[in-house]
Amino acid sequence: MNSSRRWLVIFAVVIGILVVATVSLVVFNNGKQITLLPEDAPQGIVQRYLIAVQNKDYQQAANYLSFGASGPFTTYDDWLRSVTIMPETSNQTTWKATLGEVTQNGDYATVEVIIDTFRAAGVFGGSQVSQPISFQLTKTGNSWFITSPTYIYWIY
Amino acid sequence: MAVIGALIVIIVIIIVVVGITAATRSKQAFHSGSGTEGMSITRRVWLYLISLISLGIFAAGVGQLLTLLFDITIKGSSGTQVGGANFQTQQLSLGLAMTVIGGPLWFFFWRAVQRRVKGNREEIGSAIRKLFLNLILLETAIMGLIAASRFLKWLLSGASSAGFSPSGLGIVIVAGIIWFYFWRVSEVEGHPSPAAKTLRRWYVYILAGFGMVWLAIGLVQLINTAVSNLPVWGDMLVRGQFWSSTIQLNIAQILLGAAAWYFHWFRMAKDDFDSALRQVYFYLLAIAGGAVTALVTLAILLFRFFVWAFGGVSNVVSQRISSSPPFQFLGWAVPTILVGLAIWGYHTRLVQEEAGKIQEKRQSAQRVYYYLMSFLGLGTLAAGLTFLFGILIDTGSSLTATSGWWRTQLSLSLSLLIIGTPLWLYYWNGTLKRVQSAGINEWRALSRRIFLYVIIGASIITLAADLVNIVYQLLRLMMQGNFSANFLHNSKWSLQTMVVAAALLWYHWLILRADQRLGAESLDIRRNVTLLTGDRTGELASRLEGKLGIKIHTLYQVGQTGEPLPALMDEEIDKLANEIQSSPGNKVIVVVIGGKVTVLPYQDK
Repeated sequence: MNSSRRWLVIFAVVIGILVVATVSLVVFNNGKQITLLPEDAPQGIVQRYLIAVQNKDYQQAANYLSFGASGPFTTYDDWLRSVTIMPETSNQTTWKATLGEVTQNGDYATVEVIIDTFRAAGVFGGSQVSQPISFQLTKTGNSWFITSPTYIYWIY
Repeated sequence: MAVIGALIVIIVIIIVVVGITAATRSKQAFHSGSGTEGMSITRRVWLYLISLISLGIFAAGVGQLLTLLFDITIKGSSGTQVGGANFQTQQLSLGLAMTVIGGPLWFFFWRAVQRRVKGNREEIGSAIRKLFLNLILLETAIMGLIAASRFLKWLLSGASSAGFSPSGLGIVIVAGIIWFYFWRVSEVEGHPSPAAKTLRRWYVYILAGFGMVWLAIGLVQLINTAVSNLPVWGDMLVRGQFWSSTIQLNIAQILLGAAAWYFHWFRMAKDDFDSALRQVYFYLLAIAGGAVTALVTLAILLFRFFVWAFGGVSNVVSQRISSSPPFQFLGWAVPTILVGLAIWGYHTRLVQEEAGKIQEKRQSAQRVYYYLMSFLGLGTLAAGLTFLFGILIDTGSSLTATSGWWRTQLSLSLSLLIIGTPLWLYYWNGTLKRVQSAGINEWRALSRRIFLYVIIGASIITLAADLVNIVYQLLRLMMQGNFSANFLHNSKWSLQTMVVAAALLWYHWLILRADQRLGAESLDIRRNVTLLTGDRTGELASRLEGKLGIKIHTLYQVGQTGEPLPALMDEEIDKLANEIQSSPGNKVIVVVIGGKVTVLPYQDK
C-alpha cells in the first residue's frame, strides 16, 4: 500500500468514527428536555419567549413582551400582525438560540443571544447563518419584560 | 409511508452513485490498460472537475458533522438551547447526506485519476493536474489559516465555552487534513514539467506573501496597541484592557503568519533561483511593498512633526491628529517604518546575493521595480512642489488673511519633498544608468514606454484642464469688468499644478523624442538566434541575450573545437548585437570557429 493510499484509508476510518460519534450524540441529545432557567431571571424570560416563538405559541410569547406607547407595537394585535405577515417563509427555516452574556443593572438587563439559522440551501449554499441579538429587558413589579427587539425577524 | 418513501429515495441515490462509479471503473478497465497512457484534455478536465466538486461536497459534509460534534461536546450549551434538537437533526441530515454522497464519489473519481497518473510523468506534470492540486492547496491553506487564527484567539482569550465557534474548529480540521493530503501527493510525485513548476511557484509565493503580510500587520498592530496602553498619554478618561480581543487576534496572526511565511519561504521556495515569479515576488511585492509602506508612513510622520513644530492645527487633517494625544501616532508609525524597512532591506540583500545566479530573469522585474519607484518618487515630488507653489501664490497675493495659514500646507509640502526628491533622484538615476549601459533593449522596454507615456499623458491632461480654467476665469472676469484678486483665488490650483505639469511634460517629452530617434519605437523584428560554439560556460550566449533581450538557442560543437574564443569587449558585443539586429530575415545562426565569430542569416527551405 503506497503512502497516499495509506493516508486515504486512515482518513476513511477517522470519518467513519466521526459519523458514528455524531449520530450517537445527536440521538442521545434529542431525548433530552431543555433545562428551563429561573423565571425571575432575565435570561429565563428570554428563553421562555424564544421557546414560545419556536412553538408558534404567539399568545404565550406576547406575555413576555412589553407593549406601550414608546415601543413599535402598542397592542398584542399589532405585534401578531407583524409576526404572521409571511407564515409560509417562517416554515422554511430552522433556528436555534444559544444564551450568551447577561448584564443586569437594577431594573434593566441585557441578554445576549446567538441565533443560528439553518437553511438547506443545497450543496453550494451556506447552510448556517449566525447572528448575535441583544435582548433588552425592564423589570416591572417582580417580572421581567422584553422591550427590544420585538420583531422576530430571524425566523424569516 | 414517509419512512418507506425516504428509504426508496436513498436507495435510488445509492444506485445512481454506484452506477456512476461502476461506469467510470469499467471505462478505465476498457481504455486504460496498464494505466500508464495519457488522458485527453477533455477527459482530464472532466475528471479533475468532478473530483474537485465531489471533494467540495465531501468536505462540506464532514465540516457539518464536525461542527455538530463540537457544538454538542465543547460548546455544551444544548441543555438551555432553544430549538437545538430540531437544528441538530437538520444539520446531521445535511452533513450525513453530503458525506455519504460526496465521499464515495470523490474517492472513486480520485482513485481513477491516481491510477492513470501512477508512473506517468506526462500526467504528473500536466498543467490541469497541477492547477487542481495547487488550487486546493491555496484555498485550504488560506481558509485554514484564517479559521486557525480565530481558534487561537479563542484559546488565548481563556477558551470560554460561550465564545467557542464549532464551525471554526471544523474548518481548521477539514482544511488542514485536505491540505496535508494534497501537499503530500504534490511533493511526493514531484514537478516534472515547466507548467507544474510554475503553478507550484504561484502557490508558494502567494502563501509566502500572505504569511509575511500577516506577520507584519500583526506586529505593527500589537506594538501600536501596547504603546497606546502605556500610562504616558496624559488625561485619558477611560483606558481599555491591554489583554483585549485585538491583542489576542494580533498574537494569533503573528504566530500563524510567521509559520506560513517560514514554511513557504524558507522550506518550499528554498533554492528556487531559476524563477521569474521569484523576481516578481522580490521586486513587486516585497521590495516595492516594503519601500512604499515605509516611505508613506515616513511622509505622514514628517507631516505631523512639521505641523507640531510650526505650532499649527489648522485644518481637518490636523484636527484629526489632535483627537488622540500628540505623538501617540508614533505607536503605529515607527513600527510600520521599521517593519517596512526590514522587509525592504532583507529582500534587497537577498536579491543581491542571488544576482549572479539569475542575471537574465532578474532584468525585467528589476526594471519594472525601478520605474515603479521612480514614478512614486516623481509623483510625491510633484505633489510637494504643487503645495509649495500654492504657498508662494498665497503669499504673493495675500489670499489668506488668517495668521499661520501656511503651517499645514508647508508641513505637507516639506514632508512630500523630503521623501519624494531623494527617492526620485536615486531610482531615476538608476534607470538612466541602466539605459546607458544596456542600450536599445532598455529604450524599448515596455515598462519604460508606459512610464513615459503615462507621465506625458497625465501632464497634458492636467495642463489642458488648468488652461481651460484659467482662460474661463480670465474671460468671465473681463466680461464682468471685475478683474481683481478673485482671479488668483479661483485659479490658484490651476496655476500651481500648471507650473509642475509643464516642467514634467517638457523633461519627459525630450526623453521620449530622444528614445524615438534612437529607434526605441521602430518595429521590433523578433529574431530567432542560434549560437554554435565550443564554449560551454555560456558566457557569450548570456551577454548576447542581455543585449538583444531574447532567448538564444545554444548548440555545442562536439569533437575538435579549435582555438578558444578570447573574451570579447563590451564594444565588440554591441557590434555583434547590431550585426544580428540589422541582418536580413529573422533567423540567424552565430558560429564561433577558430576564435572568430560569424553571423549567418538563413531561412528554412
